[in-house]
Amino acid sequence: MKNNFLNSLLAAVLAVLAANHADAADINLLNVSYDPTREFYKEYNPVFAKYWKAKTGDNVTVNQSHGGGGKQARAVLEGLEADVVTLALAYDVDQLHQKRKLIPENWQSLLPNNSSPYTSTIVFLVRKGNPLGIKDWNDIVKPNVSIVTPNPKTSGGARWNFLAAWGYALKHNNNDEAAAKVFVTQLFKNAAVLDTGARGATTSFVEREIGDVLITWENEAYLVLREFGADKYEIITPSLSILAEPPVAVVEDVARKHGTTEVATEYLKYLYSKEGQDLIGKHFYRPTDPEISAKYAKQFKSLQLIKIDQFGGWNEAQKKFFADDGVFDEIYAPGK
Amino acid sequence: MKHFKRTALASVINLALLGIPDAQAADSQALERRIHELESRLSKMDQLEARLEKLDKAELLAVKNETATVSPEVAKLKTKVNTLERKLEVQDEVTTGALKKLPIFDAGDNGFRITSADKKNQLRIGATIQTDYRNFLGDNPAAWIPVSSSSQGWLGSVGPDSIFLRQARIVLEGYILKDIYFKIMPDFAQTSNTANMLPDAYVDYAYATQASLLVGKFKPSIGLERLQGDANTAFLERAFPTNLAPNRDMGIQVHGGFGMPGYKAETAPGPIDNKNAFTYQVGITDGTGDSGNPYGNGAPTNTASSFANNKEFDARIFAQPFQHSGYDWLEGFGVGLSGSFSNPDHQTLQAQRTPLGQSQFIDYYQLKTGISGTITANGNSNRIYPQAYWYKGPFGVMGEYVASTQTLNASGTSKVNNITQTNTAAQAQVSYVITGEDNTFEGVKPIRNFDPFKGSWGALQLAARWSELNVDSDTFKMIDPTKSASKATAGTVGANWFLNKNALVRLDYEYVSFEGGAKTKTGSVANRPSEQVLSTRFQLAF
Repeated sequence: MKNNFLNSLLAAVLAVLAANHADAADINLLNVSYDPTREFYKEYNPVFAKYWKAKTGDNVTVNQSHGGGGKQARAVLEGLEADVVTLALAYDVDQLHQKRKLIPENWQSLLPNNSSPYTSTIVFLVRKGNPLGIKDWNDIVKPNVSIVTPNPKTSGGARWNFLAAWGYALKHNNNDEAAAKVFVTQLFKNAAVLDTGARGATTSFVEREIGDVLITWENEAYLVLREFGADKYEIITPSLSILAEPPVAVVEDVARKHGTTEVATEYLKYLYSKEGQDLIGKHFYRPTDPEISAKYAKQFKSLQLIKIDQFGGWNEAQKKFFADDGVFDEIYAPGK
Repeated sequence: MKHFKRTALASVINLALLGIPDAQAADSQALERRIHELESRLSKMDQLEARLEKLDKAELLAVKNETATVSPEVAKLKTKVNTLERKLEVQDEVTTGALKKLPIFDAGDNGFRITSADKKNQLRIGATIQTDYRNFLGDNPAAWIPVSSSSQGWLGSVGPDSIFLRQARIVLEGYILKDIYFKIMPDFAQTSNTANMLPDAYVDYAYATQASLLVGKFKPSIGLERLQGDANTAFLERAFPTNLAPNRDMGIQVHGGFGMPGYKAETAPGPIDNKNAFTYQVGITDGTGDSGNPYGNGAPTNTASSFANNKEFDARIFAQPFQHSGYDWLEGFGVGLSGSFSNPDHQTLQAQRTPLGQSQFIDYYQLKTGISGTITANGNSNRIYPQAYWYKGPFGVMGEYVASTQTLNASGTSKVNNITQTNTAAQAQVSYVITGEDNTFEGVKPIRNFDPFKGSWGALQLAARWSELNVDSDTFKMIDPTKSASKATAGTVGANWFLNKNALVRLDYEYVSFEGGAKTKTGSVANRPSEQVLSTRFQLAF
């Protein structure tokens, strides 16, 4: 009698498990992101998949696409069916609403901190021993200093680089824009090569041994130290830089079509969880969660950070500096 | 190296020892001297070995130093090369990205195409040029036609034995955003005021194969041979049934296609769909009357004020029920039915003409004695149009019948003011491609293009057709039976030589007999003499 009961119970449990297994959906998400987030999302995606499996029983596979932030946004506008975008700057994400209404107008208010789960900033990477004695922005505009930075036309990170330099020049020239223009002109005159994205610039600096200074994301600089050895490179934190707030958004139009709205939203929300924030800190991004931020505070040097608001927001900054015939087109001519 | 030297030293000692004479035979002093000599030699060897080792070390150091001290010029050049290489890589990346966005240009036997990189937009530029020679054999029927003062509808300028440009069309067609198809097709062949300068100009929103919305000027889906492409018909000119349906009209049509169970329907933009197993078309047009062609031959002049009275409603269903059935010999069979209804208000009537000769044999302006004014279509009008084709390998058959009923009104008389006229027409044609190519509704594609030096001659199709048009006898209560025939029967044979997919040479002979349409010397009705026409065409279509 007892054996029969146990057998029946076991059969029922197995049946329920089998039914659950049969009902589990296989979901695919595409995360279109900017260049340096490869390693972070590579680690974050399985963590989220595990969380989602435990919560819903569904199997979620997140595919990644990386490139220069501006280029990636254009790819989505041209039909790349991203369920979520995790780009370098709000302007690129906003284009998805402005040009094709792929996301709602209020996309930035749908997640905490203006939909930026982490922040970062721009620093310098130099070769070990800092042979040229680089300390701040004014050192890298000197003649015979060769710098590596991506192209602001294609890379979100490069636009942060440009604005950080511009902000520094304004501060040290009594907000004189003409002087700032001369400053960035000299900066880009020193550019050995303009890659299309931040990762390409890292390749130029590290693998091809081009340039004396790499202007890059803070997290990317730390990643180079970890991957290529702290005995070969040094991070130089300038006196002033910019507070980069890379945003994330569900591409609602695509997610609705794919039937992935719920999981895509949760995928981004989970970035704000303790586990997500911890991974963010681990990959040298600055977490927004105060507790996790405190945990990783030691690894980031303090510096003065200007905000994009100082430039009137991203729409204004884009129009003034990076649109066709903007300041960048004015100051930079390839080959000169 | 060191090991080698030690081995060499030992060998030298051994060799030296071998040279010592027998100890018992030498005195001890000599022996001692000999030992000293050997020790001295050994010492020298040690010194030599030490010097060699020193030299080795120095050599290694020199090599090391050589590697470490790369000249600044070389280092500078290395950086320059690295930078140039990287710049080229970045340039390649940018160029490749830009190239991917460039439109694709394609030129071939389908015309010239420009397609956007995402393939959602396309423009195709094509053309059709037809140059005809028409030769009337036997008596010239034009001499028999009692020409009135009216010049309505006469094609006198085409006339007998002439070379003329039948079509000179530019075809601009394609799609925008994948689903929105369009076609604009001007025709520059005719310059008279009755010329059909713009046969097609339409937009077709083909969002779903089951229901597409066609708007503009197009062929109303009524006559089967009319729906066949001009470049694909088996004869130079279409048969009589086509005369009892509109040529082109302006309006709106909803159409769709369905595949056989288990087969997906194909998108078929435009008014012609012979791809899908089951198709339908439902349209509302201005209503141009029989042979009508808006802006082409004066129609429509329907002046009815209400929508229901000044529009024509037409519908067509067509099925190829054996598609993918496995019955190979029946797969190319298609059958359908179309019809139309309208209620025109004093609409102009078009003359009727023979197919190949284009000679006018019914003239609504040649009135019977006692009838005056203008005869127009005024009141209920409808058509019924059963149709079918069957293609199997090189063999093809097509047939259709039409009964076109309309109410005629004579405006200037009270004697016979209105009559109901039902004209009927039918045609049956058979064609065979003797070179073995497939015969299809969409024409013949030669297996081997015309290239006589390589022994290939293209494809040859032979065709024969019977066609007849009967005019309702009540019509002659209004029009003069000595000036319009009551019946015309045409027999046509033709040969089509397809030089390649685009170039075609045609030769047709047609014999048309008439009932009525002429008068004797005493003034009674006589049969108009038969018409014999030989006509050729050179056609290029892409």
